[in-house]
Amino acid sequence: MNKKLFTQIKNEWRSNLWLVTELLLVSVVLWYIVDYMYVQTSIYNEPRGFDISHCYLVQMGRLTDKSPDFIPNQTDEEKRQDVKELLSRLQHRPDIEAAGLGQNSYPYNGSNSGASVVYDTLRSPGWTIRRLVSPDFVRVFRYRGTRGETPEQLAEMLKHPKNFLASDNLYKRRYGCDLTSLVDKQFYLFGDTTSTYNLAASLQIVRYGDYFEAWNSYCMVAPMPEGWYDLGAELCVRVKEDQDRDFIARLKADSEKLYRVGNVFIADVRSFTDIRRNFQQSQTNAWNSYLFGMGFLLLNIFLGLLGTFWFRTQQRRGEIALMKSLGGTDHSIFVRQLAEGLILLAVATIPAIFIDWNLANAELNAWMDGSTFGWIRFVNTVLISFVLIALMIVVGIWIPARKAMKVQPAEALHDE
Amino acid sequence: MMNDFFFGIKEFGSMNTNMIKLYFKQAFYQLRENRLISLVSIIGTALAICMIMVIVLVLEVRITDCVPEVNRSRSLYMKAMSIHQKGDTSDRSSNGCMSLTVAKECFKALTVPEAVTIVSTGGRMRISVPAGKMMTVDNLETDDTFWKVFSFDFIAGKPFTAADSESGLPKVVISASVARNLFGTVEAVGRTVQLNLADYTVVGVVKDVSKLAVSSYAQIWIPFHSTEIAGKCWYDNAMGTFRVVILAHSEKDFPAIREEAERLRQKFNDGLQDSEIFYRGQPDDRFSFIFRHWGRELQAKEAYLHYLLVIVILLLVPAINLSSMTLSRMRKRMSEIGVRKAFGATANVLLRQVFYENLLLTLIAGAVGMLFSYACTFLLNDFLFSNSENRTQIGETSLSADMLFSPWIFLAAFIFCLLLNLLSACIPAWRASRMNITDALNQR
Repeated sequence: MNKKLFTQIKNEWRSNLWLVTELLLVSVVLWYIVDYMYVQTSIYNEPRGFDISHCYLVQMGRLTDKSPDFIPNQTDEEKRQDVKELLSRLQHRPDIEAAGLGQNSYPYNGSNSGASVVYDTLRSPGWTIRRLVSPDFVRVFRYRGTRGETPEQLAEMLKHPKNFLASDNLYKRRYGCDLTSLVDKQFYLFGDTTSTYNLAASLQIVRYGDYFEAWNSYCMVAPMPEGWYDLGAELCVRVKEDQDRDFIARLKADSEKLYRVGNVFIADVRSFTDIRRNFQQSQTNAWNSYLFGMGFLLLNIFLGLLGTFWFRTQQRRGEIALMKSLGGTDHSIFVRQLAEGLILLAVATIPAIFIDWNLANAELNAWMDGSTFGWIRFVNTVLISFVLIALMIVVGIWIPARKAMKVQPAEALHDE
Repeated sequence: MMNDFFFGIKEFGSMNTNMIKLYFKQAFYQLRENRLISLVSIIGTALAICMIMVIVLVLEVRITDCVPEVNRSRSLYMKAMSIHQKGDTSDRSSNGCMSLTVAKECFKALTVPEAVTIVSTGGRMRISVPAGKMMTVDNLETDDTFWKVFSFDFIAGKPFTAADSESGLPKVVISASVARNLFGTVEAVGRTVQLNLADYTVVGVVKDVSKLAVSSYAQIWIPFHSTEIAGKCWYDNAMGTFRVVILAHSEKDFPAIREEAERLRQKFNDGLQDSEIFYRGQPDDRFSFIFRHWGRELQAKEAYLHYLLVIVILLLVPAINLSSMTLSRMRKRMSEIGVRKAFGATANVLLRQVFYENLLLTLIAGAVGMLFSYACTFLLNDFLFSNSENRTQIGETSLSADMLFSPWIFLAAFIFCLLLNLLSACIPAWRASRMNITDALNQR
């Protein structure tokens, strides 16, 4: 029976060649897409190191001389006091749990500043992000320390201007050492070698965004200097868990009455869900495009198999009838057709794996863990794409196979 | 041999009308006879055409002229600039928008272009009527040339003037929907609104602009000197919050403009002590502009290659399917081909027949695919047209008919159909033309 199947596949090599070519092409492209999605999903599911649920960004504005309420001739100190006062009023608002200021600091922020963190001869990577924040900032986004420090404890540490925090992985890639072991040691920051700062705690890795890997996200958190308490700072708030409903509308409604401080006013309030969606739009778009591409390929496999096997069933009517009259069951006929499709897929998969492997080695696919190839990842992605195509083959063959099963032996053999 | 020759001539002579009609008739009959196969072929092809046309449509909407950006083809864009320490060879640099100083000295001072406009990156403002309605709107801060570079439909009033712009008078142009929302009418010229608590006079009302007009979209437009935005600058007063759009007299001036911009850049750098600004290949034409990410070198070649690869795959996969099915269908018609050959049909004639039969199928599928693609642009509007630039904006990504129904789009669709047809009919036609008569007649 099996030998006969192979002989049959060989005899129909011409039309099978088309199928195998198509399966090969689709296998490779589909693997590429599956690999991309596999990588993105793995990265997405890594711990983020921050929490934006219930968080909002409050944008501040300052009155100009065109406004009747404008207070002229303010000193810089007075301007800073206005910002601090607004922050403090928000901190005391009943539905707000924490409020903090930052400079290029909030998550999903396209604006970054860099910093160097130097201990002895150890130096942080070039793209270490500097987050200058007011102490409560870490409470807003729920940063946590590697030794179990709570956001509240971290906030307490940031009250000292010579303390700083840094994510655990700063020296990991280059020197293989975790920052946890260097807590309470003295560091040089910002390229300044005249004074040292104390690493108060090592942070659980704070990722740059949902699609940025933890190992490649570096950051340090330091107290924001007095002079930076300004309009340009980012004012972030976390509201209490049950207070999300209409928070933006409520805050805006109160803004004129309660939160106009000197020349400073609340210009706009945005939720971090919104900011995140905006920040990740291009990744979301890419993901969706790949998803459509995948659908297109699978549908084509389905249609191709459906068409080809439809013809075959028509051609092999006599043969199927003969098989039936010799005791073949519906089941065995279906399995035979299916086996034919799957064998073809297996034949196409072998060169496909070879091409996939070469693509991965040429670094043309997605990056994860600093590489485009990993054994587990490769096996998984090849398997997933194989199963997806196999499913389409099953569905595609199902329809013609059912037709084949319905063949009435007597009628079909009548022609012979 | 003689017979063959005459038959060939005859077939060729009446080719234009009768034969083509006959081929199409026959093809149509074939389609009807094998319903499932026809359906499978048409759906597969239609899907491919649909996906390709969606890509083309999205690109078209982003690249070709549309109101108010009617001069895209002769515009150059400066989305971002970079600055680093003089002589720095590492890739460390500060990247972002430019300050007003750079915009003025390096671009506004250009003499070759027709006009240069300076536009803020845009943001939100609170707009209200004294003791009345309040709303949040997208704003742009710009100058008077903005209204020359872009062509807005003014429903009432007119743009702010050069004098307004220079002295930063509190004048504002608002969109029709904002006017209706605040005043209940578009006749708002001369009325006072409060923008972030400062009084402005409405000087013009324009038709709403789609968010797809990325360089000009806003809901209100004000002179940048009327706020303190110009004061927001850092890094030797070079970085700031502005972009520039340069309108050339014609595309041919692009090289000259780039050359002049380069001269101005060097002059500006000469005045800087330690740092220098650079543009990474900008100003960009429209295509480069949409693929420009600030802080990175432009990867236009990669973008082209990417599109090419995607379209090839989208054409190739269904073409293989179609080929295979056409071949199977031909196998069923082997005796017919045999008879035709026996009566002297040349290889050429048979080749043509297969092409025409296949063309009917691809054209039907093409029309279906085109319809699908229009449906997609409306149903998937959000996914297709939102990007991180316009995601936060409040307005709508409305599409106008003249963007979608340009003759170019139909031509493109037709070309892709032909391509697909060529790809998929090539091998079956060749096989049909080469078929041995006796084999064919014996159905071998």
